[in-house]
Amino acid sequence: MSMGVKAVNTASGAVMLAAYILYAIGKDVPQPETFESLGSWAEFMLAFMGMAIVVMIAVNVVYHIAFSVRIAVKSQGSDDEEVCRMVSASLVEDEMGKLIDLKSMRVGYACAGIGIVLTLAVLAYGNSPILALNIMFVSLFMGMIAEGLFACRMYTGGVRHD
Amino acid sequence: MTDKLIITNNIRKLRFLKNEMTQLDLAERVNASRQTIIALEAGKYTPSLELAFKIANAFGVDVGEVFECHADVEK
Repeated sequence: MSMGVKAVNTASGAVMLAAYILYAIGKDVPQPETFESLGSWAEFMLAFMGMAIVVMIAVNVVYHIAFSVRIAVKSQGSDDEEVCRMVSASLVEDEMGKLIDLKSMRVGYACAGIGIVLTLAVLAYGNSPILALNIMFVSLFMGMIAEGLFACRMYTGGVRHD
Repeated sequence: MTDKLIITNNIRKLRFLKNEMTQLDLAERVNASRQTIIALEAGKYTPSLELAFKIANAFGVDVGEVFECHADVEK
């Protein structure tokens, strides 16, 4: 995955997370909390995940079109074959991309792991299960965003094999 | 005290000596992305042994002519 794709995915993930947090803050929590209210949150989270996937696919399609157009405009005078070569050479997945993916994935898993531990701690101390569910959901998104940011940093700053 | 290896390369110089080969041409020859070639030339990435040999083959030279290694003594 190229840096541009990573940056676009991270940015759209951040926007989706911000939208979710805004919704979650404004959402009414019926008291006392019942299994049904927990179920309604889980339903919303599933729907939100579906929406996030659709948005990311759409953003990726738009990004790839914009990227191809930009290269075509930059290389005016070149034939279609040359433009295709430039586009595919920029998007090819090679060893540096795979190394960056592996290293950034560790950061993403660490973030998600911290979130799971926090979720368990919230439940263990007798806090709201809805809060615990939200912490878990947000930490998964935060992990994805942290992974993307770390990958972008390595694409610009360089990456070592150690 | 540790010996840290600093690996430098002559890719940019070799590209110009080889009929001004573009980064895109080299990337295609070694099956890597242009971004990787840019990072290599800037010294931001050290390639695997396989990619190093592919680059040397693309220029038709020995791998030692493309990459140089210096030991940096750290305290």
